[in-house]
Amino acid sequence: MLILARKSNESINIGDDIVITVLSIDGGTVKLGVEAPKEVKLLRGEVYERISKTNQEAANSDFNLLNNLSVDKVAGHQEKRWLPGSGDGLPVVAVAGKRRKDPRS
Amino acid sequence: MRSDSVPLSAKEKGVLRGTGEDPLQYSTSRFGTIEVAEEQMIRIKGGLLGFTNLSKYIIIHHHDHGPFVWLQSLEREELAFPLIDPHLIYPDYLLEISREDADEIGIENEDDVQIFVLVAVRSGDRRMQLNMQGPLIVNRKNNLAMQFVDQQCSYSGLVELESTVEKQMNGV
Repeated sequence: MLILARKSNESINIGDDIVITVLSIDGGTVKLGVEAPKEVKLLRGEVYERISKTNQEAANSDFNLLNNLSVDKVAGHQEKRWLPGSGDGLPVVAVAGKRRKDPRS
Repeated sequence: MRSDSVPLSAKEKGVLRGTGEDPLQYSTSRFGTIEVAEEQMIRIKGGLLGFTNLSKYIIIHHHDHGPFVWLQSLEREELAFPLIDPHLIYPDYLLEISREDADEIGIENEDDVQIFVLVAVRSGDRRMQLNMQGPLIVNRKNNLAMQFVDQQCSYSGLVELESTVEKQMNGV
């Protein structure tokens, strides 16, 4: 971690496209201004941590646990609504699982 | 000019084929080898938080997995995320995004949009955690997507597995 001390109105450059400026210091709170290209995501640290951690947990989800919420239990009342993109333009790749009762037949 | 006949292996896998160029094959750790046409590919602008270097994905519906679909990375075969439409769990779910955010992925009107949330569920869990603060917004028209940071989200996203199934069974 690079550690720098800055006073009000002083700034830090990150690469060519990102500038962080200290706008004001008031008690224990520093107000920072951040300039960055649109595609760079700027988030409060705790927000970034929370979302990226939940993303990682999703990536580690148990495949077989979803198996147990079987199609014949879940699908009945919603018809095709739960299959996004069926006829609606969202491209979905269908993968055959172990075929049991096909609720759509 | 290639013929219109679908090769038998693609048909067996139930792959939806678009018109245009030949689909490419991708290997995945959960679903084996899949064929993906260019126009089925979803591109997440900026990637997912924690995975910002990856942007190419495909949505897979596994026949046994009911309302869940899978966001499979086309750049890392072992990486996939279960998704669900949050409206199925929270019928009143409403997401508001700014015009600027909508423009990022070329959204022109509401009907262009499909929203998903990532689902975390571990073996032995009786509950699943939906990532309500970071919904995935997909533009059906151009297959661009983004993980939107919803700071105003008031849903916890913690859902009992049993009650989800029962709710569905009772037609809620």
